[in-house]
Amino acid sequence: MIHLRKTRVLLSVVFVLGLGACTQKASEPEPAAQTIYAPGDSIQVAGRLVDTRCFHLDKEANIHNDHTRPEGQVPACAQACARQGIPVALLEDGDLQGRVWILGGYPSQLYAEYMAGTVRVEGEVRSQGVILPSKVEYKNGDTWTRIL
Amino acid sequence: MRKLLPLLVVALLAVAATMKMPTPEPITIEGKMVDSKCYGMATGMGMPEAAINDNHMVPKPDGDGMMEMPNCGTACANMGIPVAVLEGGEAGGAVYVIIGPAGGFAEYMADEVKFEGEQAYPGAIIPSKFWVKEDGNWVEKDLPGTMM
Repeated sequence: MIHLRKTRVLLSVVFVLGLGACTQKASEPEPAAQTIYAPGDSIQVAGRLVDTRCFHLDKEANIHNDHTRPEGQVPACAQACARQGIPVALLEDGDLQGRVWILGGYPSQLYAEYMAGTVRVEGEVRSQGVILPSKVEYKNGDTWTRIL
Repeated sequence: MRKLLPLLVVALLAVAATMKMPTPEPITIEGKMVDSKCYGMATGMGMPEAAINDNHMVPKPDGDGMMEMPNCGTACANMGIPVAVLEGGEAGGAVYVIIGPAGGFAEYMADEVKFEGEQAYPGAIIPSKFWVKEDGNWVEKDLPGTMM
């Protein structure tokens, strides 16, 4: 009898754990329906400048300018990466689940001082997920300033 | 029932883990090293072959026709403009931006290259290995370092 109770309790725990895992998945925000762009399409998109290398390692920790890397906290890491010529990307709407657009065509150093800031980019889509910008504006307070 | 319980737990945890984190896709790409600016612009002008080699055909400053710009690919990479691999080395192939310091790849522009790595974003890879074809053989090269 005791064994049967134990089994029931264990089964309940397993059920709750499984339900929790499924609920967690279900409660994650679904990515918004995204427009499909073809190479050559014109695009205007706003979002946050991120460093492609570190952002991929840990999106949440490395959305800012200071990064968490395996070797520890690195202040102003995004700026340093851009200055080294590592490609910079725009994270659409600054949303962790947003689309990542690689900014091709111009030196990454150009974006260094604006890393983790909000920008608005106009350009053409190249390849998958790459923008060749024709205009880039940086948002400072309520003002958009053209930087390219 | 007792014997089944551990199996149930393992199965549920395995399902939960699979649902939580998609594993990044490993990828190997062979092609030609191009710079994302000139190749992107040439593609937009309907003449991608103008920027496949290291010397590029670019519009003359007065807009009257085209002129050859020697070592343009190398110069662009040295400026920090993201480099990319044109898959298959033929105009119109898929293009993958390399997530790494552009200047470190400058000496290999227009070379036949092979990258192994992780497809971090659509149209971009973080390389873990890198080869250049020399005298018909693949020769592994050190990936350009970063300060971190």
